[in-house]
Amino acid sequence: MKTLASWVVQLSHPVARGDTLRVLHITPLHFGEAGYFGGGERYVHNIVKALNSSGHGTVRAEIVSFSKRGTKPPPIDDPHVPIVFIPDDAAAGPFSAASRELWGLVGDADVVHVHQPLSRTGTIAILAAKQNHRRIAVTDTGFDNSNSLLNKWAGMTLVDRIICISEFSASFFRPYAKALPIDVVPGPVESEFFTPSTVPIQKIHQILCVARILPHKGVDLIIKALPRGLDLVVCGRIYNSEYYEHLKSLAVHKSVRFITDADDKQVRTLYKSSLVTVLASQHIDCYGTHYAKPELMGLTLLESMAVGTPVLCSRVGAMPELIADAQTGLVFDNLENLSAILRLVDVGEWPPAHASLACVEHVRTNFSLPVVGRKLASIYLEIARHDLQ
Amino acid sequence: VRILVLSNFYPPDFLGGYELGCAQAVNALRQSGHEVTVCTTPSHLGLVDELGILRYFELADIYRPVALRSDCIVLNDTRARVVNFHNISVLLDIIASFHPDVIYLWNLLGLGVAGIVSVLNHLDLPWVWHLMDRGPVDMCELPAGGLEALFEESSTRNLGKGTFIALSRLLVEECRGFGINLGRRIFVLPNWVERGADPSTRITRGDGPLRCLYAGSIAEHKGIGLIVEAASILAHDRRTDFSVDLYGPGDWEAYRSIAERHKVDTYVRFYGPRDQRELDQLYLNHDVLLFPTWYREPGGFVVFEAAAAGCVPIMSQLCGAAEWLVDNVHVIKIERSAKALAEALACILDGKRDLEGLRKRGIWAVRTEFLSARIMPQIERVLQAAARTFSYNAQRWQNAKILYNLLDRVAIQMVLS
Repeated sequence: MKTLASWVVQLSHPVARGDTLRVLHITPLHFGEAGYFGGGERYVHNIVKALNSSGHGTVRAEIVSFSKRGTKPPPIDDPHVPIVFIPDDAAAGPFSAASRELWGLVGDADVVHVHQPLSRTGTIAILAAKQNHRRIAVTDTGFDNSNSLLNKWAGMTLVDRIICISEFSASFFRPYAKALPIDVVPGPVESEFFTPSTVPIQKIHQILCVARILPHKGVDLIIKALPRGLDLVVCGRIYNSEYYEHLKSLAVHKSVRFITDADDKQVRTLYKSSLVTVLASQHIDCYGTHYAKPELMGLTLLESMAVGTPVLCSRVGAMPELIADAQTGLVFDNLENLSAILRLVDVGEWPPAHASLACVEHVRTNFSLPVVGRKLASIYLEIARHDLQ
Repeated sequence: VRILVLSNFYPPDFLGGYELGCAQAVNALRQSGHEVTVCTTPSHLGLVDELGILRYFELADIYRPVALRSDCIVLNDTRARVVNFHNISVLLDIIASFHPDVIYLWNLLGLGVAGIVSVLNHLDLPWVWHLMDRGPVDMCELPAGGLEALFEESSTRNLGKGTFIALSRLLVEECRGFGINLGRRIFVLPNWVERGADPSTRITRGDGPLRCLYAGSIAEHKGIGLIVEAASILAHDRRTDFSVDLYGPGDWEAYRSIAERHKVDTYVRFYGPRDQRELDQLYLNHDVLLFPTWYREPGGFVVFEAAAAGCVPIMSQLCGAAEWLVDNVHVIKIERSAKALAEALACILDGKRDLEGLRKRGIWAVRTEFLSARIMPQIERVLQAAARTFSYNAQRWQNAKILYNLLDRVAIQMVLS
C-alpha cells in the first residue's frame, strides 16, 4: 500500500505531471575549433539537436560545456542546440575542467547525461549529479583512460544508464557495469543536412577519406592500397604534422589530394561526388602505437551513406556495425584486402547499381535525427520513471 | 534522544575552550538522560576507560603540523578542510549501528569538514553544529585547484538544512560576511561556566600591587604584544604598583624578550599552561583579567570564568564575549590598543574605577545567566527540536560510500595536479 508521502513524491515527479523532462548534457569540450575528438564532440551536438528537433516534445535537452575563465565562449547559432558555457575553475586541462556553477545547473535537471565519463570532468559531473540526487546517463565517445577513478572504484554503480554509440563501445563498459542496463544507440547523422541529391550527380573517379590527420586513422594504408587511375581525396584537419608529412611522401607518385580546411558544405559535396568513402582506422598505427578505442562509431561513414555514397572500412572498432550489407559497404581486414576492393572500385565492379538508395534508406531508418531522438527520449523517460517504481 | 557528537579533539586532548566545552556539553546531556556517543580522534595521552567515546577518526592536524613539504601541506589542508574518506566511512558505519536521532557537530577542522557536512546533507540526516569558531568559513577556505567545484557549493548551498548554535552574533555575521548562508535555524547561546571558583574564597589585594591575569594562548592575535606594551606605558609613567601574570601555551619566549627590551620583565611574567582547576584558583588570586583579544575572537570561556570568580575582565569592546556582558556594569571594555589598556589600568590604580562594584555585579551576572545549568537546557531543546527518527537504507549507505570515496580521490587529484 502506498503511503501519503509516496503519493506526494509521485505527483511532484515530472513524468507523472506529464512535464517535459529537462536533460542536461555535460561535455568537457564542445564541437568546433576547441574540440578534440571531432566526431565525439559532434555526437553531443547531434543528439541534442535530435532530441529538440524531432518533435516528440517529451524531452528538452541542453549542453553544458566549459570555457577558460575570462575568455569569451564561441557563438552557437543553432536554435535546436542550446548551450551554456561555464568557467573552468580548475584550469588543469580540458578534460579536468570543473566549475562551481555546475552544481546549480545539475540541480535543475531531471536527467544528467555525462559525456566522456572516464575523464576527470566527466567524473566530477557524475559526482555533482549524484550529490544532487539526479538521474545519470553516461556515454563515452573516445576518452581512453585506463586509470579512470570511476572504473577503479565502482563508480559505475552511481550511474543509472550507460548509453553506447556501438556494441564495441559497450564492450568497454560491460566489465564495470555488472547489472546496469546498457543501451546501444548509434548515430545520429545530421540527416537534414547530409541528404542525397535530388538530381542525378556526376560521380568523379575518386574515393574519399574524411578523418582527422592522425596516425591511428590509417590514411597511410589507403594511400598504399590506392591503384593508379583512381584518385583519393583526404579531407581532415591536421592534428599530427609528422604523420601528415609521412602521408605526403607516400603520395608522391599517386593521385592524392589533401583538403585540410573544408567546411561541412564542402565535405557534403565531396561525399556526394565520390565513388566510395573509406575509413581505415587501426588499433596499431604505422609507428607501432596501440589504440584501445580507434573508432567507437565512425560518424563519417554514416554521413557518407546518408548522401547515398557506400563505404569501406577496416574491421576495427565499431565500424563494421554500421554496414548493413554488401550494397551499403564492405569491410577489409588488411592492406591486400583493401587493395583488391579498391581495384574493383576502379573498374566499376563495386559498388552495385542500387547501392546509393540502399545506403540512404539504411541511414534514414536507423541513424537519422528523428529515429535517434525518439530512442534516446524513451531511454530518458524510462530512467526518470524509475523513481516512480 | 540519541545524540552522536563529532569533534576533532576531545579531552584529555584539547586545543582550548571549544573542545572543553564539547566535553562539558556531553556530560550535561548524559546527566539529563540522553544517550550520547562521541566520535573523535585518538589521544596521545592514551586513556582506555572511556565509555561512549569512539576515537576512530583520523586527524589532519593543521593546528600543530609537523614540518612538511609544500605538496604535503596542500594534501594535509585538503584532508583537514575538504574531505577524508576514512572519516566519512567511519561516520557512516557509526551512524548505521548507533542510529542517532541527531548528529551534534563541534569543531570539525582536521576531519575533512566539507565532506562530513556534505554527506550528512546527502543522506538527509539531522544535524546541529555548535559554532564556537568559524567552522563553515574554514570549510570554504579550500586549497587551490578548483575544489570549490566539488565541495564548496554542495556544502554551503545546503547549510540551511542544518541547525546552528552560535556563541555570538559576531560569529554569525562573520560567516555571512564570507557569503555563507547559515539558513534560518540559528540559535545564539553564550559560553557558560560549569561551577566556577567560589568568589567567597577570594584572596583580597589589600594594599598590594594590582594583580593582572591573562589566561589563554600566548599569541599576537590574543593581544599579548598589547599587554607588554601597556605595561611599558605604565612603567614609563612611573606606575609600578602592578603585576601581569600570563598563563598559557605558545611563543612566550619571544614575548618575554620583548618585555625585557621594554624593561618590564619584572612586572610581566610568563608561567606556561595550567589546567582548569589551577585556573579557577588563579582567578581568585587576581584582581583583573586582561583580554585585549582580536575582533575575531568568537567567544571566550575565560571571560565568564574570571567574572564568576570576581576577577574583573578588561576586554576588547569588539569580540564575541563582549555581546553578553555590559561595559562599566560587569566588565571594562576598551578599544583594542596598548594605550587604551594602559589607561584602563591607570584608572584602576588611581582608584577612579569602582572595581568592587564591577566585581560583585560580574559575579551576579555570570551566576544568574551564564551557568552551565542555565545554558544546557537551551542546548537540549535545540537538539530535541532537530532530532528525527533514524531510518537506515543499506543501498543508500553503500552508494554514499562509493560517492564519497570518489569525491575524496578526485579532490586529491585536483589539488596535486
